[in-house]
Amino acid sequence: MLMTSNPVFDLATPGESKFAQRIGDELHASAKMTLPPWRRYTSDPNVSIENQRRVGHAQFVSAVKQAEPLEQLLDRRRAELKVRTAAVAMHISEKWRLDLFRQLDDLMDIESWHLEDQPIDPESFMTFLRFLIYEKNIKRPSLAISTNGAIIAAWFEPGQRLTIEFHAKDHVRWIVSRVDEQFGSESAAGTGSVLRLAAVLSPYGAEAWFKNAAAA
Amino acid sequence: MPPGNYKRPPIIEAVIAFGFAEPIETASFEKVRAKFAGEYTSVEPRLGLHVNIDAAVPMRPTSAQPRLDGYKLSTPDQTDIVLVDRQGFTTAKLAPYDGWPKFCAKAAANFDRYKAAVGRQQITRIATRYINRLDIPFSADGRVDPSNYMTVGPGLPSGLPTPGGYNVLVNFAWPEPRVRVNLITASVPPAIIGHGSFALDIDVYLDAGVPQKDADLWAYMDRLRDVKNAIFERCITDAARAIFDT
Repeated sequence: MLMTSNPVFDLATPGESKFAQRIGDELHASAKMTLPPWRRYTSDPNVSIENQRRVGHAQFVSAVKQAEPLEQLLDRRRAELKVRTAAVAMHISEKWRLDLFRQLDDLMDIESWHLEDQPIDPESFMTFLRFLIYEKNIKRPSLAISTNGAIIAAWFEPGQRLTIEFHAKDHVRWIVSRVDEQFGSESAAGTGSVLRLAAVLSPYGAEAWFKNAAAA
Repeated sequence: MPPGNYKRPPIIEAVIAFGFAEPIETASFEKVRAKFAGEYTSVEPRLGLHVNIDAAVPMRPTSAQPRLDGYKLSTPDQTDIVLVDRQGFTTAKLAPYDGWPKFCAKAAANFDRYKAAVGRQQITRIATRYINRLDIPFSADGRVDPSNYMTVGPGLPSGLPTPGGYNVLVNFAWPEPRVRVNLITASVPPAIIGHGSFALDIDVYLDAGVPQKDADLWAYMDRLRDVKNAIFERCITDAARAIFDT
């Protein structure tokens, strides 16, 4: 990863990290008015990238900040999220479930953990699962974690972006940006219930961005 | 509609459990843990608080200390679980459930590993327990009536308000084979949007005259499962079966 003064977002999709980083920069620029800061990597000239990445350093920080070792915390949180997924596994395809677990392992991998990161909040994750099941046939998104532990899903196509941040009790925050052929670029953001998501995004045609035409 | 072999069975947890006559020593827990270490990588100690009371000073504990009372071992995806405690050994499978043959074979293999670690013990109880959760869609008026999907639930006299929740436990003897059953049904927090959720927990067990030879043991386990299936099918309606086959 390059050392840069610009915030960079780690969107965990296998094989798409560089593309996701670029999109993350653009998303942050448009999201700054409403969304809280995402998990960001910032440069510190006194601490090399390798030191920040090293497990020992993370464990040192963890020991100072938390009673529970970081690796143990991440293991426990990953396990909890997978158990919660199991509770609704009959509503999710096997492929979706396994891909999701790979993304969770990637997102909360201690080797790439940053000092200010928070593990995924289980209640946020439940809202994300309920969204997947309720909407059905969801295209697999890129995933990230906000600095307060909310799981973030993002879908992007050329000229259009949709980002949804999931919170407890079926609450979401969303931001959409696109280029309209007639009116040029436009963006919008909002908050509300996951049940209303398709309706509030429909003026932007955004539902087509996150749903498959065929069954998942 | 022919019962069984549903596309999306509502099983959230399947359990095969053994109880033993004598407790094992603490050192045996580490032997079991080592036997399962390669596959079951998540290890969660189960601690109990043990209190000593001096008879000369009643009502006042002389010491209290935590003691290791077993382990919960899980695979990386958390769907396969082994529980070992002082007088019990359990294999559990969380959803997605992939059928009795696979689950039973897994439980048998796990039990062999357990016996390799701690030796043969007298088995005093065997059980197969299935915890189901029925996710029932709201009707057009936003309500859900479990009685359209389940034949078991609370029996209330007419004239009482509609209950906001319930929890019913029934224990009864099954005639053939002669086993006992704990049947629990309860309303639970909705798991998915636009649905009400209801648990149907069926625990079939034998605690007298338990077979000790492996072949007899697993043949009897198949019979416990048959009893569980018979009870399950009597507890659901065709409307529920339609949901499981969607």
